[in-house]
Amino acid sequence: MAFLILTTLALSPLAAWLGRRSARWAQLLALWPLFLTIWFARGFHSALTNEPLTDRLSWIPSMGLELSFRLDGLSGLFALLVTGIGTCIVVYGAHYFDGHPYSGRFQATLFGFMTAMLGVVLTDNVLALFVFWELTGFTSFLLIGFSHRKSESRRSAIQALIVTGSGGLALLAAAALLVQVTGSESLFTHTQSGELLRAHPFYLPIVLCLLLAAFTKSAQFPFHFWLPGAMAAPTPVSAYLHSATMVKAGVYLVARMSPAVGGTQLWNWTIAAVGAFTMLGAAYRAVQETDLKKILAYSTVSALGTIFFLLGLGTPATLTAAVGYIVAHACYKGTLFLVTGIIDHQTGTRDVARLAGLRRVLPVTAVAGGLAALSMMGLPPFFGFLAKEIAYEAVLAQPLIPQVALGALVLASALLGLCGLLVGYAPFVGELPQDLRETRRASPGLWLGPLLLGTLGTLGLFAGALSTPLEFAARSVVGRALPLELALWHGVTPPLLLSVATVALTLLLYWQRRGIRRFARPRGLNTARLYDGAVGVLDWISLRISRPLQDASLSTYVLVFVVTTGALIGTGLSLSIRVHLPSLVPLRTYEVLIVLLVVAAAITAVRARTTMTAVLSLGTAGYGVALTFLLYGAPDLAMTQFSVETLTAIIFVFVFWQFPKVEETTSRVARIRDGVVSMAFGWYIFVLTLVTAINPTSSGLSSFYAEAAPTLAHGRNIVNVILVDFRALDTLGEITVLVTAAVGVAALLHIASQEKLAR
Amino acid sequence: MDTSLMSSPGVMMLFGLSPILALGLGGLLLMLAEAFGRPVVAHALEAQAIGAQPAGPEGQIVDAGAGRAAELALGAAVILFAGAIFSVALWLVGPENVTATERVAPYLLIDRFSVFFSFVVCLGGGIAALLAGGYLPEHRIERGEFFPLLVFCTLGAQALAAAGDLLSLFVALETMSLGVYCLVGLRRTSVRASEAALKYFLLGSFAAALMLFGAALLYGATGRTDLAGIGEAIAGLSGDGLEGRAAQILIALALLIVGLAFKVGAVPFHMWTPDAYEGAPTPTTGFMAVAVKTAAVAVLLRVLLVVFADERLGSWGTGWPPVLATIAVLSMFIANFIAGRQESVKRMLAYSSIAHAGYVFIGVVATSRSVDAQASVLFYLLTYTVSTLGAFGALILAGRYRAEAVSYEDLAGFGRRHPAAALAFSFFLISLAGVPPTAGFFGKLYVFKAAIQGELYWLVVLGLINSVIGAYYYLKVLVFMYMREPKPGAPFATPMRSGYVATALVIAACFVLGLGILPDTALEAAVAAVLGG
Repeated sequence: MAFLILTTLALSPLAAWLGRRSARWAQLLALWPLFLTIWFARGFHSALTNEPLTDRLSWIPSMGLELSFRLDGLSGLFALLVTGIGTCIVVYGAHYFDGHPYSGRFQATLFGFMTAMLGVVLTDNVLALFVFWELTGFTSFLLIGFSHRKSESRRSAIQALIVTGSGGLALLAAAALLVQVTGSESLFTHTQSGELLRAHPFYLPIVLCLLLAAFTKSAQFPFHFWLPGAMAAPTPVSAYLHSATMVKAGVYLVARMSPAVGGTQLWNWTIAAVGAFTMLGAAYRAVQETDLKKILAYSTVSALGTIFFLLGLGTPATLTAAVGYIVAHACYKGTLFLVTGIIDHQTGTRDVARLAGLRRVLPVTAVAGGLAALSMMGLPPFFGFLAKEIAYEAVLAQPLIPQVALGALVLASALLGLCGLLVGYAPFVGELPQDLRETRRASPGLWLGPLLLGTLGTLGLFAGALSTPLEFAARSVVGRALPLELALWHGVTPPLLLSVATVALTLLLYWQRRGIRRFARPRGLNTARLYDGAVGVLDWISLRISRPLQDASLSTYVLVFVVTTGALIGTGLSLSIRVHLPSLVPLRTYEVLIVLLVVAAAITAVRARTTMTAVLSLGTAGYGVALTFLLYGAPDLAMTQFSVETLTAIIFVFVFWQFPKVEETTSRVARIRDGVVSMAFGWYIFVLTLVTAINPTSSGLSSFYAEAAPTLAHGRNIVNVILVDFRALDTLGEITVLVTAAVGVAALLHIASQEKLAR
Repeated sequence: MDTSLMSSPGVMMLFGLSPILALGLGGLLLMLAEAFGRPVVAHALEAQAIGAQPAGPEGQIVDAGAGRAAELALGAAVILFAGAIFSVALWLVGPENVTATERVAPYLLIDRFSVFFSFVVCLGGGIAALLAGGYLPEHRIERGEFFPLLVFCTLGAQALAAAGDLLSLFVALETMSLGVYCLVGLRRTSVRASEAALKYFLLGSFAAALMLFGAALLYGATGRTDLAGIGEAIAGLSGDGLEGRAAQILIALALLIVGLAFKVGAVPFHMWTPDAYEGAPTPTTGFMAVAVKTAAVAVLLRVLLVVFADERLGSWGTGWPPVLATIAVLSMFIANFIAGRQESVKRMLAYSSIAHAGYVFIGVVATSRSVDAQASVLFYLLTYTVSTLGAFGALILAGRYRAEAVSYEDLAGFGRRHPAAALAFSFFLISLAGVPPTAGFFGKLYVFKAAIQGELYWLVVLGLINSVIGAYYYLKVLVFMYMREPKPGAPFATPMRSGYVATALVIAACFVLGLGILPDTALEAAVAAVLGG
């Protein structure tokens, strides 16, 4: 299994190459997904009778990441959807993009997506699940931005990626916590350790993260807005990713994790409430639209809401109904998208108001659209009917919420049925408008896919045969076997009456469709604006913090640096300081005088109006320091200090000679701030020196030199002895460096003067 | 190989030091080659100035001078990759089996930790040298000293990661830094470059002085200069001895962190980064972003885990973890926010490197509590090195002489003009964003995993939030490259081509994809390389 999935990825360069050729060649690519479909069908069948298929490939053992796959009922069902519909899409895409400059890119990305999606539904490793999950998001990003000339599609592509990508990170967080709690990366193990998980303190964060991931991926309120935006993608992409497969990943996640973390009030109510709200809101929104693709997008959101609603109710029957709904929806919605694509491709418009009578020019497409619309309305003998039937039955039987919920479900179903009619029926009936007379017929490659998918809906005829696989798929969610009786005729039962009511309502709504569209659109629930607002806020914050932090002024940089360092040192000091001031030697008068001199010089330097005064005052302060050296018996150090101070002052003067007069540029506030910071920093250094001085180091170095200097080196000035005797080689090295540098400077000066001469 | 030869301590010593010696000797040779080689460029320029040599199409100078910088680049790359290969060889033999190198301890510690870093910085330096081989001739920065300086800086970075003594640590730090200051200001005629270099130099000297002060305090408190010795002395302090020294030790800790955080470029010591990164020639920027940062993190790890390993100093109440955690959070948030606003892609990458310093620091903080954290930092640095250098390399290819690609607009349609480079660029960016299956994803995953192991959940949450913010501006580049057409009349009609840059990109891309698909070997190496492992 791992091999097959990786081969799909490996085939994407071939897809790029073959996809660029004419449709006749490109459609050959469908052979691979077709083969996969057959393979997974066999796998599903054998899993039905024997153990689930497993396969593992060690990937990164040190991180617990391995490519382990497990094909049970639920995985198998999704894998069949991915590969089966994928086959149709590859053929359809080959014709849809015939001659398009990026047709190769399309097929290659499609194969990449197929790999990722198969990985999502088949993997047993929760970390690998995250990897594949994000890959589906990324390939979706590439596909939405496919028609990139429009700024709208670029925007939508990023929006979709940010929303689903954030959800993906929540999935990563959930994965990490799951591994932390159960000690295993295997999803199967997680589903076995429900007791442990539900009792653990991490239960709440795990559930929240999982649901965040599922709701963003499956476009549930309040994250639903990216899906209608994603309709900027070419229609084959919308049909495949944004209706049949990728958006179902969230549903898959919730279904898969139900045995592990489901069954609590938190889980059930959150999912059911979000699902119900999305189901109704999106269905209402869908019928307002006039663009065929927008109608389908909102109806997809609504259908996903329905599935969540069923999953949230959490009884075995509703879980099974959810699985049935997934299959039915994938078939009819995929068909309708492809039909829309054909209409758009051939006529160049998707506006409901402009389309009519197309059955004359697109007869086969009309058949496919009609089949799908009927299935979506929930008429027998279509699969949509069966799915709705078991859903009604299950909701009737569940104890969680009052039966009012049923009304919501019926209303949403009726609205969805209306959507089906609007897309699959309305464009084909009536009088063909003048401007559509020239419409060319669609090639077989285009209509083959939707027709196949649409015909799949009639499988409802073999209701009995469908029970076993559906029950098997639901078993992985429910956790145990349960009897499922699918039949077209159960007698006159409450579900049947509800179905009849739904269809009647649908027809009524269709009749009054113009009136419905005139209703005001719901305002205030536009969470896309929230997203825009959030992006705007981030933008604003970054503007606010970039300005002060990026003013390119060295003094700001130094200020931040010094203040932070000062704060750190201050914290360190406050944590540790226990200074027992030793009894200090009493001050002598001339010491006080020197200190006063230094202080006065420092103040003058700060207040100086001219640079010259400042430099001279600084020099004076330096001389003061040198005087203290002299007083404390370090004449050589004092000598050095004197010469350094003198030299510095002279150099300063020379340099400032060349400079323009320094103007006062800083404000009073800035100067006070700088003064405070400088004084604080000076104070720190003072305390630091004090602390170091009263805790002298215990190293034996100074005593060694004090003893060894007279006996070994016959000198009494320790510093001199160290320089010329103990460390003579180092001194030699230093002198050499100095000489080399001097030579270098001389050479540079020489070159400069020569150049001047030459000029 | 002759066994008697291998058993000779001298030979073993040479072998143990071979990564460092290769760079040292190679750098000297390169310097001689630069000094005594014929200055072709000057001649070519003069010849053109007097009209002896015809100008090429579009008024450009015929590439007569490209040869020399390119040759030096090749030389530098060979030297640096040789250093990397010696590191690998040493790794395979096992530094612990090369006992002869104990004679240079503790000044240079040849252990798996330093050999791992030696490999990473040599790889980074080598790729940067290749990038320079294409960039410098294209932008007419014919300054041959670039290459010896680059080699010596890398040598400093290697030595920094191996330093086991405060003295050698400081010398190594300055060896690396002084060269980098020059590399930043290489474009002497550019005001911006000079300004950037000056700022970097002034602040860098300040940071180095603070570090030196911290080192002096440590010596004052313990009477030792070797890191292990200081660590032992601190651990042995108690009672009165501790009371007197605590202030010195804590302040030394603060000052060392400040100095190293400056080199890493973490907020709030990052101020120089955007200016220096933008002003510097792009290969230098790449080199600074990876080698300097990597070496600084290496020495930070060694200092924290050897010198300040004492449990009082590694605790959340009185130690370094809260400081580093604050730096990590600030780095991620501030850098990511500002990066999103940048109009220059180069500057965006500069901020991105600050944000990555934040992610690395999450791992560093986690070392106080998790055994995997050290390895995660090492692995992260490897993935970050190849992704970042690759991104800068691709950016080089997007520009031309007098028209360096700086803004997002400049990249519009790059996917069409230069499909291969754009594809590679995409890989590097999604690796930086942390999208699987690229190197960057596993780097992040491993760091976050270590942090979770250390129960630092809040840091992980903040890290994840930042990954989303980060993804936004990385992907913006992709949007411009593939989904926008250039405005009519925009420059860059013909993008630059260079075999050197292409080679560098291929190497980087191999690493990014290799580490993304089969990261296991590198992960195991990182685990084996941890200090005290």
